[in-house]
Amino acid sequence: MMLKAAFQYSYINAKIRSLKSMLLKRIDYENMSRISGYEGLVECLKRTSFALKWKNYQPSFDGLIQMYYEDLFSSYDKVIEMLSGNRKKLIQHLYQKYEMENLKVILRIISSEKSNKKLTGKSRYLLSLKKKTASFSAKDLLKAKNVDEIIYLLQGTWYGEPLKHSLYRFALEKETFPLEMALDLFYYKRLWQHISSLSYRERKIAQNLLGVQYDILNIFWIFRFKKMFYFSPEEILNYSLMHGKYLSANRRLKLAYSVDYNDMLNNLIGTPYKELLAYSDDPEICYRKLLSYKLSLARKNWQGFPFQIGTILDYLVFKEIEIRDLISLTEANRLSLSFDKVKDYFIYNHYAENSESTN
Amino acid sequence: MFRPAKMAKIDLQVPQDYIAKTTSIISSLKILHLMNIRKTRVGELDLESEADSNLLRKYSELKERLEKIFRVLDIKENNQLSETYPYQQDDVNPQKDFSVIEKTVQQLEGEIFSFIKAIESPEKAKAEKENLLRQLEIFSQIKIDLNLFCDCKFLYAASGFIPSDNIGRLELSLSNIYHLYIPSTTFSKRRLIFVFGSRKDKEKIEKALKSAYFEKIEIPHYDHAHDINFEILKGKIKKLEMENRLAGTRLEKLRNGVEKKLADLNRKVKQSLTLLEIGKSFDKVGDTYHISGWIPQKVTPTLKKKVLEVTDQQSIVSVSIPNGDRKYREKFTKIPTCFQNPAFFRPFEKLVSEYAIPSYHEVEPTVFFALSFLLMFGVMFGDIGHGFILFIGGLLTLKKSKKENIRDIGLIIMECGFMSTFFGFLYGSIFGFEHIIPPLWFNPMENISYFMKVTIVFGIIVISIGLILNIINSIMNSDYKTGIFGEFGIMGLIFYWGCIGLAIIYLATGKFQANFGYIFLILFLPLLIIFFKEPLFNLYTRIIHKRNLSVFPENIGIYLLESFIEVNDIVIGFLSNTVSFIRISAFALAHAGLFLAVFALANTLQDLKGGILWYWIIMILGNMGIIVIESVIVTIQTIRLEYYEFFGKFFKGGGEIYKPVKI
Repeated sequence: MMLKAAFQYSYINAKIRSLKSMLLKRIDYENMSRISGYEGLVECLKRTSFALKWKNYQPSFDGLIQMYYEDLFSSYDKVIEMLSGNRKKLIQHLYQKYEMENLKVILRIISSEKSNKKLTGKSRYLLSLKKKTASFSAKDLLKAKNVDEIIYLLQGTWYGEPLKHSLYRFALEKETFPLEMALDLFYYKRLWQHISSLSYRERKIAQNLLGVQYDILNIFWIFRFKKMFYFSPEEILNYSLMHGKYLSANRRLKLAYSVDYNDMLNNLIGTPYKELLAYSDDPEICYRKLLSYKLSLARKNWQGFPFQIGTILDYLVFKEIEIRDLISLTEANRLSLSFDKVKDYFIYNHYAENSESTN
Repeated sequence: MFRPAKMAKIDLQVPQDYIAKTTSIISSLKILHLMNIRKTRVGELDLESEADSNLLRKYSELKERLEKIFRVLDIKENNQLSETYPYQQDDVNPQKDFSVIEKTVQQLEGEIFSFIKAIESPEKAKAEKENLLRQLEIFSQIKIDLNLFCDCKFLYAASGFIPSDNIGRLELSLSNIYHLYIPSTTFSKRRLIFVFGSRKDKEKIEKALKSAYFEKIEIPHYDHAHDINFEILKGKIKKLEMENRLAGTRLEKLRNGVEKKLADLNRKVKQSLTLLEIGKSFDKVGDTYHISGWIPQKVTPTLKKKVLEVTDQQSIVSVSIPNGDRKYREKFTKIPTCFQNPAFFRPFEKLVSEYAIPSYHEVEPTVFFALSFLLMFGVMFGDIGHGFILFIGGLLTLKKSKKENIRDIGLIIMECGFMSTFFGFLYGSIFGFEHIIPPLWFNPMENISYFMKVTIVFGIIVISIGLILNIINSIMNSDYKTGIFGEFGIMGLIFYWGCIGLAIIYLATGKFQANFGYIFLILFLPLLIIFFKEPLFNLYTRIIHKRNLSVFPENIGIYLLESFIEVNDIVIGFLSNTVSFIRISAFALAHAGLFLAVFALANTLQDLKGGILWYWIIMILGNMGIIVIESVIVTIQTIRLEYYEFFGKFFKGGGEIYKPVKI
């Protein structure tokens, strides 16, 4: 069994480790957090693996963010290229999360289109995904007259089904929330199906890490729906994910019916999340705390047996959090905010400690 | 043919009143390669670029509005433009035309969109009725008395569809509420459900249902049997259908009425946009525009004449030829490279450009590339039958395709097919049968050693041409260091030919009969000069140009080590580059080898029942396979030899392709 895994993963493991060695180091984050101004940030980045990406990049803050995403997508592409079968399908689906985010932006643009001017302006929020891996053409969707036409154009992709089922609500409410929520729920349902199609050993590994992601989203959503949208417990339960690592159906039910934040924390007893959320009731801060937990979990997995799917998933967690932190740093720089004011927004402290010892 | 077309730099000074007409004439002539004004001497003065960005934005918006109208009316804009309304060069003036175009577009929008809105309402009503009919048909299948369901007075009751995926979530969300949930049949991944609960929990249940994407069916109260109501509904749908059909005819009429107008507007908007985009490369001093660019020298008078004509002789046109002060000019801009090759070599320009764009001051290698490419392809793929098929395939592609790139590929295939046929005659090979036609030269499989020698001689010729072209390029660019002392310069050539001379003597006599003088002069001395090229060149510069240069570089140890490695690399490089050409004969032999396999398989199957049929099936499939596989492999190998063994010797590139501005 071990020999088979070593054979299957020898190349993948070597490549993933070489990709990981290109991630930013603690010193890079420290340098970037000390500087102010766009030029300084660019100079810092040019001393990292991002120096290789400098050819086609537009010199602006937006250009930098675009470049970070392109780097993330190229990492996904490299990982996908190495894989085959169900593992490849799983990672491709993870990658489609960004395509789904683009679709959400398009839906917002089309449903709120008042003038062509606005449309052109908003389409800059689209992520530039590679055409060869795309399920749809954003350019074609942006030409659609209405959401019905978008659904028609998405026939044959998995996006069509949830949108079709939520069109009834969109017609009544004239808001994209039901469409977006339906996409999210369907996306995570399919993701779990992809995880379930792996072999028993790999399924357990993937459920262990990605199950935490489901828990994080469920906690974050329940928290936000309660605190900011004042949804009823019944609605909250219908907008939650069915799977996860620690959050069973019963625990989700209790969380949805929690009367306040302390009650929520009590309902998380027995999970690692209670300790993490004890310090603040700000949803954003809580989300970062939960992400840092996911990061530490990935870090722990990274040190284990290398010839398994966890290596790939861990690397993608590292990469996504790197991009998230870089965007936070760039935005802080754009707004000329001092590092002390924004340091809570970064997860790199946890990350850097991990990366230095494992590289 | 061996050099890019001679270019001239043209500077136009045009009064503001004539700029629209001038831009229009420049675009229609399609001969001026515009220079970015920032890269010229005028640009160095830091004058403001004259792009009317506000007008450009307004025209972009107009273009989008027109696109929307085209979409709504389902008209294909491009076809209308090119076929019905050919380009008229002097009727576009973006500044003057804008208000008229904008007003017309606004009028059209009002007319079209109000009409579309009017015809949408019966369409929507029809869709609603059809939906209701579908739902009632489902209820009729499950035999429920809908009137009883609607008559619930003390209970909250709801029926409708829910995505099957959401059932688990809905059950969980209702678990704290007293309710009755009855799932029924499933239709296209949606489950029909009935939910009952206390009226006091109505709000909670409705919220739960809504968030589970429950699509409620509003059941109308019927006094009669279902079938009668179905008939009424079907009648209404039919009536709405008639209305829609009528609206469709009216839409067609409207479309025909505005089509011409729309196409004309679209043409004007697109031309204005192009003119405004071109305007970004202009500069303005006072009321005078400054336009700079490159054009082939031979068409300079045409442009000059036309510009003076449209500006009523009010503009200044100055032409300068880049020659003596070339280096000074290139500080500001690159002179674009305009290929000028005969039509049958033109498709190869793209293959050359894939490696690099030739610079204006070097030999343009397309002809050498094309000739050696075709020759190598023919040698590797010599077969009369296959060549003929390739020729016909290429000819059909060339004739049938409208796309320039595909036509170019067709021409290359055609030429490759011709060379294949030619070498097929030389080898006496037709569809792999080598004993039907006598070879005009030799049979590759029977003369393997001879064939290899021929290809090595071919390689020596190709490499020598590469070295000679490098010497010519270096002299043309006054780069004597590379031309004389470089590894691919005169010293490299003497060394290479010296080695070949030695090899010829050895092959002819079986002994190394060279004396020490020969070896020293022809082999050792050139390598020694290459080894010390840096100090020698510095010495030359000191003596001839009287510059105070130190002869040896600062770190002499590293220099000597690098030179030692370089000289070793030259010796190994020349040997491996020459031997590399053996692959030509190897692939020609592989061609014959593949046929051996096809014949062996065909002969084996011949003994089965219906053997003759099997024999020919294998022969046809085998030939098809060989044509496809070998064409690809031979093309790849040929390009590899061209790029690495030939271009690597002399071709530096770094040029800019000549792209005349056009609408």
